Amino acid sequence: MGFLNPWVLAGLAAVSVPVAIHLLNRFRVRRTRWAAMRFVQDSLRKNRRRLQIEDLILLILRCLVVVALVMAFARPVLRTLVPGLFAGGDGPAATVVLLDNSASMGQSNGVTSRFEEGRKAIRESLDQLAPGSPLALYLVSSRVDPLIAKPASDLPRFRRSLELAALSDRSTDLARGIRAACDALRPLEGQRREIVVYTDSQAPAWEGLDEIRKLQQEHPGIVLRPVILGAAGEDNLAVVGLQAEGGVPAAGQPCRFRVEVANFGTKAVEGVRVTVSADDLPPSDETLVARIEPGATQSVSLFVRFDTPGFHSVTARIPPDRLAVDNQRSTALQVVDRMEVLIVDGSGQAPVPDRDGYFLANALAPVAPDRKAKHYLNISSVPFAALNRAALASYDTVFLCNPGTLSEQAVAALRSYVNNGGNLVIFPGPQTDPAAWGKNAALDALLPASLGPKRTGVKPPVALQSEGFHHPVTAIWNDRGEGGLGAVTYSEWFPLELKTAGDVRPAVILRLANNEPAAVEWPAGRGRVVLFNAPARPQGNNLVLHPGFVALTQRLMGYLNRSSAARLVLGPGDTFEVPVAMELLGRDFSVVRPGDDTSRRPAGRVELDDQRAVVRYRDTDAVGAYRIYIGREAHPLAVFAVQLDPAESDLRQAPRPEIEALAKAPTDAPEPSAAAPRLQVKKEYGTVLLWLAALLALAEAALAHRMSVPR
Amino acid sequence: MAEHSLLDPETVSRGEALGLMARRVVEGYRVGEHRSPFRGFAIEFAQHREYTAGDDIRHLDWKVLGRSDRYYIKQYEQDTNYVAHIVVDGSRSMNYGSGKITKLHFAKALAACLAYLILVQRDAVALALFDTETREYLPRTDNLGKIHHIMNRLAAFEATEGTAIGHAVEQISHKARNRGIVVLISDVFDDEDGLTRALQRLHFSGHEVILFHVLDPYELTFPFTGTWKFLGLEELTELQTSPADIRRSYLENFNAFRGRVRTACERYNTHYVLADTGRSLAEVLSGYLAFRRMMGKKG
Repeated sequence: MGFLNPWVLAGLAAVSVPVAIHLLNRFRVRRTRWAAMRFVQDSLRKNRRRLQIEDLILLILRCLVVVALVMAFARPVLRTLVPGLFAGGDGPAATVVLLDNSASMGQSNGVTSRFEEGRKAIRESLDQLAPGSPLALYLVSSRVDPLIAKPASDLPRFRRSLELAALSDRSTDLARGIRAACDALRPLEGQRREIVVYTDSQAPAWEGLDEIRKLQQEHPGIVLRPVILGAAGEDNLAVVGLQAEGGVPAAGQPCRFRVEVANFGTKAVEGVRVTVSADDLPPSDETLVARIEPGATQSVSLFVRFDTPGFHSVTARIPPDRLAVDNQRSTALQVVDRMEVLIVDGSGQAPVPDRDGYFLANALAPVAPDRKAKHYLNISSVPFAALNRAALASYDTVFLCNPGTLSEQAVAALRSYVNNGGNLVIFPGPQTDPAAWGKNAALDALLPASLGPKRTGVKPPVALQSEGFHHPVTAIWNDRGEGGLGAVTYSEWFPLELKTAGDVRPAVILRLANNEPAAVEWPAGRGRVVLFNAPARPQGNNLVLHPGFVALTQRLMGYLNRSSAARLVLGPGDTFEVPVAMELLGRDFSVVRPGDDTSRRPAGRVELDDQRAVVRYRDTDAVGAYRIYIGREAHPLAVFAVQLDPAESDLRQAPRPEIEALAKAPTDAPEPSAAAPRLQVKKEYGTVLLWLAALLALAEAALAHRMSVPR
Repeated sequence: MAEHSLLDPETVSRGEALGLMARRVVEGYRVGEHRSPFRGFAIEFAQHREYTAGDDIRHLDWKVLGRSDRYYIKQYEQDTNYVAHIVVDGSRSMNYGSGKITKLHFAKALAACLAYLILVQRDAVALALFDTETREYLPRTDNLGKIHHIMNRLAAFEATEGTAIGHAVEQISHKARNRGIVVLISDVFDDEDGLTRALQRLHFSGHEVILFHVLDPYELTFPFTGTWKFLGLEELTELQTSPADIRRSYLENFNAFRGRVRTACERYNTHYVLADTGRSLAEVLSGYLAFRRMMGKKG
């Protein structure tokens, strides 16, 4: 127990004031001669004891008011012993203060956030700072923001910068901040140097612990002191996933969204209400998750219907808790009116039912001929001969059915198409020559797998996998209730040999029961390429005859569309970029940020990039939906969403001894006296005492008023 | 105190209009305006009685003699004057005054005005000033010219002693043998038994008694704030207190005391008049005289 302003205690002498007033009142007596003495005498005799007691109570109350006020201004505090922070008695030390401003620091204890706690702790530490200590201040999240990059002995600037520090919605990487701090302290060799890290010590923040230890070894003269804010991680419920599922989101059609809710706490949570809403409108669908076990994640499907095509945002919400930022999650998607699909057919002038793309076209638009015009997939077919001339850029997806040897111009057109965001799906067929394809380097670079020599007449035919689907397109068949593809068999196919290109690896959509890939895909440029191992005809396989083929093609279209839309979902700090019509080049655009009302703020100008008009927006620190507008247009030009890293929702702390051991790591730095434990304010009672003084004053006033009533 | 300050012109003029008439029969010593218990030979016929030797034959009823040959004397109602004893409390407690005038000054002025009014209507006045004893006694007089003498005596009197109403009134009642009016002007800060005994004695002597209870407004309301030390006027005690703390209790005590005085007055057919020194003398006196006149008409 102690006082922050102990000198104020001298004011306790003011206790004598009420006593003095009391005595003064007694001595400040007026005199009068009086005839009716016996009545006064009688009254006094009856009331003397009561008056004495009341006087005493009033006097005590007044003294207590003074004592409570003086104590309140002296700011009594409960202090606890904590390891020393900033260098103290041994003279100045160059110190870099790292303040974690990741999203998890926004967790509140009901009164204040961890970030505020950190700021307060830094402020208090400044009071014990050795005079002349140069200080630097960095905000650390997934990136490092140097508010004061180099240690400087400018305390007012440090305080100002600290006040300006703001919480972000980014994830944490403390190793990055410590590396930056080491770089800032490196030129100050020969001085005492320290790095003090204020963090909630969330486990993912210390993922680079090995790197930190390595940095400590590289900079033995620098003392690292982690200050862990908060006792332990709070229980937290978070929306960790929100994505559209099923086919292509189309106007007027219900679109299914999968919402994932994770329980990062230590207790099971029951009755969690999950809602989804589009474009910040009231919730369009909701459900109740009966129970989420600790550490578990529950997925629910909710539906949203979009009335108009174009860009939309969707937000999933759960009830509020101590960490607000992850109680909702937004995504953005482009709802199409119609998608243009091109089937390039290798079967020449064959009768329609015998064409290579016949089954595919029917699976893509499984409606009666008179309704095909209204179907959201507008399918066009051209022969390979017309591939060079086709304006591929106007199609969202191009299917190659039974392609033969492709000309250089065709391959170049396909590469350009894919690089600019187009989706290419290939069904090899009898005309396909794997050897010739292998020799065509440009084509080979486009494909996620190399085609091996065709296997024919395999007996017994090999079935498709019936379980263990990992790709989003086929994951639905992990649920037996949704049917399966186990009845599909192959007797002829092209073995697919998966390729890698740097960090990019193909994803297997389907496998044969013998574990050979049956369909693979990967990103190429801004688009995607999907390669099947057999033709889209009942030739050596019965895939196209299976009812699941319709679902497969529809889900594949949805997946490809969402892959394009994936560019609409960013992480905090990422740059949003979307190509727009050339006529918009040079025009200013504005943005409505998350949490804003409908007011638009100027955000930039449409730029020219690689002969395209592009909208670029970089200020994406806050999670939520952003709307980009051109001029006074009512409908947004684009909508994108910034999503929180789900790891930020896990508030469990890294093992404390392991983190505290960082401060004890062997260094050749002289051990400063400040490293000795020091008293830190744990609880302050000033406000409580002020309230107490107010209550006592109120009681005194009430009692005095009651006593002033004639008796 | 100057004698002329005792006679308040407004009081006198308002009092003259109202007059102080005896409510009961009084035993005067000459013809006056008030009913006497004695039968005489005046204007209003009262009764006949048989002639006895020595009666004045002028009062023989000749008509009766002529008709019945019997001698009857005609008797008439006799009106007389009254003697009002104005008894003023001159104890030290009467020296209190929160304003410009003390209770004693008020009592003296009241007595002077009453004396003047009574003398003006050709009744007689006797004045007594008492504390523990009767200190001054002016025998009855119906001479208006004596009013200056009365006022001189009133003005010259200084309160120096305590109070003993019972004893003082007993002494006065010996001197006021004939039935008349006794006006008692006092704050009655004495033992209440003494007052009761005095009223009882006067009542049974056939006097009409009026008590002017002279009280200061501060005594009636006890409005002090802060801390005060009260120095007793009659007792040698000193009391220090915060009057606001005991105001309610004081007022309860004081009003109970006034209640007891009134009860004693009612028991012995005495008019109780509160003479609040905060009000003007004219208001107090004319108020009472008007009340009295109204009662007289009803009776």
